[in-house]
This record gives sequence, C-alpha cells and structure tokens, in this order.
Amino acid sequence: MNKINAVCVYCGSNPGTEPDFLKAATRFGKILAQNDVRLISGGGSGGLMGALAEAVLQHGGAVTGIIPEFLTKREQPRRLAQELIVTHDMHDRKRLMFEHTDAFVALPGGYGTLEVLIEQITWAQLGRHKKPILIANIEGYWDPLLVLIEHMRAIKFVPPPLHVDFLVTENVDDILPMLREAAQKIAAETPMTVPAERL
Amino acid sequence: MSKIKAVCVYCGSSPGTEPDYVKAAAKLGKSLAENGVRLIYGGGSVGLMGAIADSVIKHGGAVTGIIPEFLMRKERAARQGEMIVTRDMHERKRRMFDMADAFVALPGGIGTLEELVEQLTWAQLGRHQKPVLLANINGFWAPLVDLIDHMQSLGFIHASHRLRYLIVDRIEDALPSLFAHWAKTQPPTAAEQRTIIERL
Repeated sequence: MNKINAVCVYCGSNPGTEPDFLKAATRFGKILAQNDVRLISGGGSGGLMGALAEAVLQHGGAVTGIIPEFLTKREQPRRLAQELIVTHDMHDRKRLMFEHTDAFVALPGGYGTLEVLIEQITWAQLGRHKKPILIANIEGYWDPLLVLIEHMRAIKFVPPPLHVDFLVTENVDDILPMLREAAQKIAAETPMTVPAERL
Repeated sequence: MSKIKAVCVYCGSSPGTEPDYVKAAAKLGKSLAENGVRLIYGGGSVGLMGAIADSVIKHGGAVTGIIPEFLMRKERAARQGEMIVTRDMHERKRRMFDMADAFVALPGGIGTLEELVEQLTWAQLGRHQKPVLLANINGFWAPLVDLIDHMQSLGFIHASHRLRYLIVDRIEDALPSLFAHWAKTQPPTAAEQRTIIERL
C-alpha cells in the first residue's frame, strides 16, 4: 500500500482547554477533505472529534464513523458521518477502524486516545501491520509519552526501532506529507508477520 | 468479606538493564505466595515475567499464565504453573480481566504500557472497581503520571471520570495498598462483571 486514501484519527471527545487543539483538529479536517482522504473516526460528535469531522464535511470530504453500540448515547454519533458503523463492542470497533484505514494519527486526547494509540504501536511492534502511525504533538501535548517511551528504550524494555516506529510532528501541515512518504517506504518492505486475526 | 484472591501483573518480557526491576519482580512474587494470592500473568518465562513467576512458585504460591498461541515461542511460554493458551491477544486480555481481582504494573515496554492503559480505560468506561496499581520502581512510571496529570489539567479527562489508580514507590507496599483499597470498595457483582466484559 503506498497511497493514503483513509486516515484514522484518534482524539479527545471533549475539546480540552487549549484553543490551539481545536484549531489543529479543524485545520487537519480541512486538509483531509482537500486531499480527498477519508476520515475514519470514533463516531463521536463532541470535542476535538466533532470539530474534526465537521471540518471534513464542511470542506466536502468523506467521514466514516465507527462506534460501539453502548457509546451511541454518550457520544451522539448523529450526522457527523456519511457512513456510520455501529459495532458490538470496543474490540470490533478497533478492528474495523484498523481495516478501514491506511494510517493512524493521534491528536490530543484522554485515556481512550492514549489507549488506542499505544495499541497501534504495540501491534506494529508485534508485526501485525506496517501502517504509518503519527503522533501530532500539538503544543508538545504528547511530550510526557515520548519521554516514557524514550526511557523504556534506554533501559532496554523496547527493542531498538527497526522499520516499525512512529512519526512525530508538531505541525499539522506536515502530517499528510509525512504519512505519504512513510507509506511509500513501507510499501517497498517485507509483509507483516502476524495475521490480523490473532490480535 | 471477600478478599483479593488473584492479582494480574503486567511487566516486561525482557529484564531491562536495571537489576532493581528484577529484584522488585521477585519480591512481589514472594509476597503474593506468602499471602496466598494467585499470580495471573502473561505466561512468559523470560525477563521480569519469568522472574516473578519463578519467585511465586519457589515460595509455594499459585500461578496462572495466559498467553496467545502465536507468542508462545517468542516469549518462551513457561512450563510451570497453570497455563491457558488463547486464540488471540484480545481473548488473553479478557481472560486476565476476568480472573484477576486487581492489577499491578511493574516496569515494562510498550506491551506493558498498553495493557496498563487499557485497564485504566476499561475502568473509566465500565467503572469497574478492581484496583489498578503502578509499581513505580525507581520512578519508572513518573512520565505516565505526568501524562495523566497533563491530560486532566488540559480538560481531556472529566473530573467525574477521574480514575484513582494506586501508586507505590516500594514494592513491599504494593499488596498492602491493594488490600487496603479492596477493604473500602465493593467488588463487581457477577452481572456487572459480565456487562463489562461484553463491552470490551
């Protein structure tokens, strides 16, 4: 796979206190729409998630929302997706998000955002996939996580990065070009080693 | 009054470069055995995983390893204790959640972090009361604590969802801290537990 047709974005279902986070989400939504890249979202309509989906739709782009049934009340998936997939549980949601996307991007968010981001990095490390993962480090939001992972590497709990690694940028405009470049590099490499159904 | 019967420990499948981590794993294993608490863990025989399982067994305790079939070679599945082999990672995590009354994170890598963060997320979503404890050996988890504080201060974790994980600096304090927490909270009923697991 060397083309980015769909990007799965993980981010907060509330807006956070920094206006720059909302701006980044809105701007990235516009970029996705203008580049005909489909947004794969968690289906929520609030916070950064909602702002991002709204920006994509406003600029004529496409959105697929994927949400587990028990969260449909809390996160109100309503009209911020042309395509809405309701899943049985969290695991199905993650699996479908994974299958629909060519790359992963983490904007600022809470526990849920951190969880899915770390899970993607783990799956990549276990050899499940080679889809690019990018940490959008807006205003240094993810710095403590980067410190933690560096620390894990330093004391040898994380094997030195081979070709499985994540990308980091502080600039929203760099995200899509970085994903495209990574996807091209990855296309030239070896196939994944662990079939998806084992994870 | 029920008591904690089984603790799930997340930790690295490599030993790391700091001998203190291996020591902490061995000490925790000993204290689990001495308190009659079963160890639920990832089933590997290497690294901190191997150190804690060996220690529990050496001190006469009970061990259940839960490992997905495809990791059996990579993490050298242990030949001692009870071993449950699962189809996939997801089933492994569900079985761990189901069997454990509490969770402890020792130092580890990305996989350990993933399981820990997933447990914190499940606790937040399902509001289960099983305690989650960070064994902050030599400050290992300090950056994660910073990250969680940062998420809270920037408004990404609602006060109502705020999850109070437990944290100790000395491994000797881990089990007492879990016991003290357990005495104050209600374990989930069987029906609640089923609902939580169905949604995962």
